[in-house]
Amino acid sequence: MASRIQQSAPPQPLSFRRSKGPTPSPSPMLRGHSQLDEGFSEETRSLADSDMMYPGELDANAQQVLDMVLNLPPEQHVVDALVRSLPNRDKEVIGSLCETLTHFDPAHYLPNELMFSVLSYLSPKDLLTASVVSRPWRDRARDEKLWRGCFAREGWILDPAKMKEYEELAKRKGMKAAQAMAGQPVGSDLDRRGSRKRKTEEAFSEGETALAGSSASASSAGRSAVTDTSMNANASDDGSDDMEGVELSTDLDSRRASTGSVTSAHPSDILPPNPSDIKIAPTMWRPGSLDAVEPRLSWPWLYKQRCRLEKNWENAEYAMFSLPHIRHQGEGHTECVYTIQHTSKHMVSGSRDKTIRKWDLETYRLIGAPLKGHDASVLCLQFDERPEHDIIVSGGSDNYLIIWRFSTGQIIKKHTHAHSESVLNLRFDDRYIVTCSKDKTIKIWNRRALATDDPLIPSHQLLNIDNPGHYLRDVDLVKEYTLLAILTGHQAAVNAVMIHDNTIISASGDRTIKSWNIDLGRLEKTYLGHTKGIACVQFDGRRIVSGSSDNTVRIFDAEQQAEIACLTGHGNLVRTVQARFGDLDTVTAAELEDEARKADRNFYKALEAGMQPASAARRGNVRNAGSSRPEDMLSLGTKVPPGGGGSRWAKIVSGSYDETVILWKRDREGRWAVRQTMHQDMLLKSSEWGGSARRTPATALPQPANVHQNAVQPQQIGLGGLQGMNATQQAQHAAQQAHANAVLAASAAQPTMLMAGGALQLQQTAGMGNAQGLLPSAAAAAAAGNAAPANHLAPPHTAGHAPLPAGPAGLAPPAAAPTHHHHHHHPAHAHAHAHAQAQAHAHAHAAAAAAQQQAHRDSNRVFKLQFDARRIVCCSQNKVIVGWDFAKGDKGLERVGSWSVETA
Amino acid sequence: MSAEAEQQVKLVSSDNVEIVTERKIAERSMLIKNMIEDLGSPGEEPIPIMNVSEAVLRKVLEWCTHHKNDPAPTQDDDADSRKKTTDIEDWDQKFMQVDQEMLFEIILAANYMDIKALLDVGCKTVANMIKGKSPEEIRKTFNIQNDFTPEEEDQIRRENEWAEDR
Repeated sequence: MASRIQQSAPPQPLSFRRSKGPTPSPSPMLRGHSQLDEGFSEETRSLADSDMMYPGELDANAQQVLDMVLNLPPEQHVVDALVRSLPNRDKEVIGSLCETLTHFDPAHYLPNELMFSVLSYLSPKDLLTASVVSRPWRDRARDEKLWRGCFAREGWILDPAKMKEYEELAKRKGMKAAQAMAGQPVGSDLDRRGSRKRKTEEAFSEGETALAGSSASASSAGRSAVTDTSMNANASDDGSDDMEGVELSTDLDSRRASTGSVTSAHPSDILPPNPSDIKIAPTMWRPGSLDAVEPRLSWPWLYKQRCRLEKNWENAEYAMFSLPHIRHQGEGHTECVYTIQHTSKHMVSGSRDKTIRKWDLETYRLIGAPLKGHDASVLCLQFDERPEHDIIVSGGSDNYLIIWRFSTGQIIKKHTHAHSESVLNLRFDDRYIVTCSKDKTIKIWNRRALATDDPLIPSHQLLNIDNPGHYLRDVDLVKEYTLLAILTGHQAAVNAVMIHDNTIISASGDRTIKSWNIDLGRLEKTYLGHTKGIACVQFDGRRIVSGSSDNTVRIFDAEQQAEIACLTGHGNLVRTVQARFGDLDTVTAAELEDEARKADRNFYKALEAGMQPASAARRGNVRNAGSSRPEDMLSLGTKVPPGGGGSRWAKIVSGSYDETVILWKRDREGRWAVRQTMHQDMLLKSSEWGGSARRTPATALPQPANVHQNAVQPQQIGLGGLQGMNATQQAQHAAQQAHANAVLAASAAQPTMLMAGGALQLQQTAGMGNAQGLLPSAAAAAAAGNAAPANHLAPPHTAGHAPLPAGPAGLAPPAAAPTHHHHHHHPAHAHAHAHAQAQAHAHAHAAAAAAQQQAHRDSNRVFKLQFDARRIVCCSQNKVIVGWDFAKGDKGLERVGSWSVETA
Repeated sequence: MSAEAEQQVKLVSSDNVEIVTERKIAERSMLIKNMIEDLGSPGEEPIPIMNVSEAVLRKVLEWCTHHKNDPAPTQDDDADSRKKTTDIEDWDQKFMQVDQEMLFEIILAANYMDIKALLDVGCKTVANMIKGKSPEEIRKTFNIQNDFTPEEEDQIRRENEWAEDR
């Protein structure tokens, strides 16, 4: 293809390029034109000439010629006279000749590898522009390596093994299948749009895995329209599947278009057939790679899909899904779900029902039987599905730490006294498992058997848990899953841990985040800023992101311990947070620090210019969410700029007891702002879950039998639910903004009943520190009083077992407990006030969005969420796990999403 | 070592002009550096720079003279993911204010003579002539014939819209 497109003129002859004399040797072009023009030369020379002499009327080229001529030494002014004497037509010819003598097409002048170097400095946008310049430019601007570079510089990472696997699959299936996989017409560059409306993917995906097949059959049985996977199935059925990454334009889509949530058909999709030899859109396989029967994925295509996936996040283009699948509700947890983790293929969840469940994220079906081994709520887990790891680690309110084989569900090791109280969180890497507990300690365990002199064994403490009172030094070999060290120092329950290289980061109900050196077992740093207990924490080596009972998400410079951003927007405890700054490979620590210095310099400059730094009072209220404006600066001398830096795709997703999930993105000033507010109810209130406004069931979620009655409803009903969701989403988003303001302003009074409920819930939160849900729940009682007859609410004596959060513990410090209110008038009281209002707001708008007198249902307090390139999955006090899939049924986006490795 | 650096070397351009310069300057070019090492007797044998004319060679040596004390090029990571800046230091910017023919000849010469830093500056200069421009402006800048039909161009433009900001 390259050779055919390259209709480049042969390199200009040397004499042509190098002629340095004042009178260029005439080119064939000049001669030809002169001869043609001879007949006119006499008559056109006159008035018009003098008109043309006004410098203002000369175009740049003529001016250039003129300047050149005028700069000649006097004896050569003959050229000047000569040019002037020519007819205008000839002057133009000379002009264009001069043009070719002074302007050169680098795509011709430079060999390909040098043109590549030039283009490698361009942004993706400039590269796309360059591809419109000419065919040779297009050829060069679509270079694979160029786009691989672009991809990497966005901070995006793909798993080469997964791509290889896909390429191998295509190769095995042969050229035709590969082309079908990508939707490329067989064996032709003459590539008509019409023929690209292909018969494609489904042949492949059916054969790809057995699972995909079962997914198809599930869909033929009539799937929930709530998950867009059903749209996929439809799309495949009518053969309009699309590998260009064009939005599916199925009936469903067009029906949904009126809701405004569907992107319009991709521009190239509505174009007339393209008669030329050029490929308009990038193709999945590299040009030519199929001819050689070595299908290779194409980077321009990958870049485009990845970019479009990211834009779906920004524009709230997603399909929601649930676990269990709506058609298989019997597969779900029977009580609230405290913890989840997912990869592109699998999810594992842990619940108050004491089980752990494995899920297939392609089919949204349960894999195998639930894992039983805990004797109380499963509070935390992590898994690694890779065959060489094949592990799930879980902790619970039974104080157990259990190691399972991921593939079989078999228990490998069970520590029944891992901690003296609930195991609230855990993380593992290749070396260690780190657990933290309500017992205020952090413990480190080894993953593999170690010789006693192994450097992985922390030097500071070698207690032998299997043989209390003895040290590990006394044995020859430290068996796997042995307790290596205990870290103490937190004053309250440790709610979250994170492990990164030789550092452990922990977050506690004592309002502090601490960092620990694993080897030395030493407390390294303490991070202050949160005004209440901290529920969750994340650390990427540069910054620490945490969520707290003070309703904020804060970002700290890990090295300097300074707070560099505070995100306000949630109306209740922030229980779970994940951030992806996306700059770990693209920006060095030194470059990041340079950025921080720049912000500092601007601050000092502004001070000199008379600026008042942010007052303490102001800092107490509205804290900087990441702006670098001098007047907003919170910290100086940090290693990380305000807001934490990061790529333009940086995002934070947080989940809260206010029942919302917020997607934060940075605005143009660099401030973290609420980009989307999402609710599980957007799915769970749809008619198929029995939660529509009109048919309000008394039970929070219908039993499977109940569901099947709903299930026979055609998909339009489900779509009705979707439309409702969109409206709800918008209303709630607006309400969310408003209520964020309410928190900050703490202004007008709210309906008293709701306010009381909010206040009580606050107390409940406070009480939870000591009694993991065992207190008869005042809040639940209040809620019951609030609600219509609701048979899902447990009778008072079992209220303690109602799905109240078992962790995080100690989030609200004792100071916030009602009995102590009078001791803490200002911050605590003011906060409680704001909190109550926020709560009231949340209730108010939720009620408005659903139905006015809707019965109370399970709350959707968010316990844990995780996102990757493609999905957010979120578990809550509701037993149904809910997710948002930003590939939205587009195969190209799904692929790139599942090849991405971007979880923190 | 310093005596060695002050040695003079003779270079011969493609149009057979002999240019004498400091060895240290000439050795900014890895091509020359390797040749001197291979020859073993610098200063005596003239070194042919076969693909570079006198005018361009003088220009290249001007750059080498200004940069003769720059630290030796580090084997920097050319990782894909590293951010690529097109910032050019002031002196180099002025140095590169030449006509396009000379600019491209410098790039070709830097490539041939293996002077990575100069090659980078040259490529950045050309990149900066492309950045932020419309296709038509780029064509004008380099006198490029548009060989797309209006329909083709329109289709490509529309296909590229996915990259537009919001």
